[in-house]
Amino acid sequence: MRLTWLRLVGLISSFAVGLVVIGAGALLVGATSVDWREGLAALLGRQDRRTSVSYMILVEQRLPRIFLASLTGAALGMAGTTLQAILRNPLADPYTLGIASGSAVGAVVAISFKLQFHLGPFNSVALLSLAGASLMLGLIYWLGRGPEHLSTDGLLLAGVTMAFIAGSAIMFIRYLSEPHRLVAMDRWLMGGLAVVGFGDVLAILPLLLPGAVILFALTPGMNQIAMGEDMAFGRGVPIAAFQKWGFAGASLVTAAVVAVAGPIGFVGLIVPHAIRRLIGPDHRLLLPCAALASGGFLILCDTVARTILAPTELPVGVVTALCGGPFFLWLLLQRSRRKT
Amino acid sequence: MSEEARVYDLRALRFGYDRDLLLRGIDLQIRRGEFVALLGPNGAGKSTLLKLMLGQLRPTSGEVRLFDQPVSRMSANQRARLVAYLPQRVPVAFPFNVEQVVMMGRYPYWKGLGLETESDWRIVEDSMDQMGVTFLRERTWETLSGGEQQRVLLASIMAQEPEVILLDEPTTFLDPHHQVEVLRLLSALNRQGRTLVLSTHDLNGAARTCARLCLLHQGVLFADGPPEDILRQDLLSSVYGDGLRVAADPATGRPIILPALEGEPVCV
Repeated sequence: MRLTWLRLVGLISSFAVGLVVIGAGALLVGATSVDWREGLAALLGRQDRRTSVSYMILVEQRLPRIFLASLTGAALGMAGTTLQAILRNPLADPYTLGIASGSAVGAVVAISFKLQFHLGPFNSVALLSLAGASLMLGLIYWLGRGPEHLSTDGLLLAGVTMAFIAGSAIMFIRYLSEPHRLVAMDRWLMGGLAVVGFGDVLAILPLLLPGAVILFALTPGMNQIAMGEDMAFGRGVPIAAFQKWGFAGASLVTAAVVAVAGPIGFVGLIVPHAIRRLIGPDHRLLLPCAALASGGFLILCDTVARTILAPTELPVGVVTALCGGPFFLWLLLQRSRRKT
Repeated sequence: MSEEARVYDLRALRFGYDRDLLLRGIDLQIRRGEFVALLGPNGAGKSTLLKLMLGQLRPTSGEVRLFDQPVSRMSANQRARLVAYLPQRVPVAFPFNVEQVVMMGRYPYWKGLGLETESDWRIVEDSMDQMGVTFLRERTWETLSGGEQQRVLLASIMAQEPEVILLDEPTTFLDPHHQVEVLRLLSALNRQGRTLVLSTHDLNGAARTCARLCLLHQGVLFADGPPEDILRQDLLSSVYGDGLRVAADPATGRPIILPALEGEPVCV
């Protein structure tokens, strides 16, 4: 299908509208019933904000959470799409590559050893998970180097191996930890979007935005890489540099959101896959649409997470994992059916 | 040879590690409009030589010059507008359709966001027409037969509008009919003035389509010349062993290569 400005802008705006509709819907759904008119009136200054419970819930609790969910989803969707393109494997994402495991080790260390410090908007857990993710990426990148450029199999193998090593490190730290810290640890490891105010949302932007710019600039080359590194090189894609930038961009956006929201699996796998089926594999279109759709998907999952067991909340990572497992089973069944 | 007509100039090209040199001193000049076949047994370094010419591999020593510029110092885009490359295997990871695959040939000409223009589409339509794949335009890659896939890739190479085309065993995985078809399409590209260099194990096909055969053996250019000078019993025996017999094509009188089973006489 031809990629014209009309098609590009049309599709992206449809996905954007979908995202806004989901976000607006999610705003009105929750454990506490609220009066949105009252909240709006308070927002517009027609009513005292400090006395409006609806305003507090809508604008100070749900809205930042919905923003965080959409940004986190978008980041995971972009990182997943990019890594799938670079590794030419539809099963690649920040989690299968062990990036999340690295950040988990960082966070678990911070929680277990009671490290308390701040740097700008980040607390110690966020900072150490950021460091863990970066360290892990560096290691995987180093392990996956081939003679000419990154080797796809080498990277995947390195990612899976490092995820195992990180898993055993987490078990070891857990064993050494005081029992009451295990709860906080588990809560972080399951991923969550519970935020208070817009501080956390704004905190991820300095990493997320440059990462996203890098990834969008690479989309024409991602199509070329799908034809194999040799063909892409012949077309004028500088493979080694391209892989480096793609890896760096995917790492930036992943690290940004994992630091705040913890590891949330499967989003970067399911949504790009579904959108690729819907609109085709052209990454110039796929990357923005998958980003918007992943944002919407995570808002939906988070809405389920905060309402289904109300007044208790479920970690959103549990909801995405519950969606992800059956999704893979369905993929597998489809594949085996196609072969027979 | 005038500097103007020289497309490729390989000077004392060596590639490999330490004593384990795969290519040990290749000198090769290719003129504009030539159609050259690289022959040689498995592991002779045909694919490596093509990748060195493309600039994907760096020579251990020596130099590859393309239009009188070192290929290693060209920008990726500048090079891709001059040389196109068809690797031996093209593993397509996602379900792109034929149009999209052919359009990918326009990549070195894109700027900014990389959206295709009307002139890009005219070139793509023209390339699909010439390779006879227009009727496949909406089909996805994995639904095509091997012969169709190869024609689609050739169309995408045409869309790249290169001066030179390097092809690594373009006929190896095709049945005899499609092998001939691809060779005919390549000849047509050559007649349009493009310079072609292909590697192949198909001695007969190469002899019929290429005016110049280069025989690689033990890391050197063992023989280089027109087919009738290369397809000689003594030359082939020293490179490929005693399994080949050179005969004369009853229709044209040109040399053809036949397999020789054990005990059969190999002399003409």
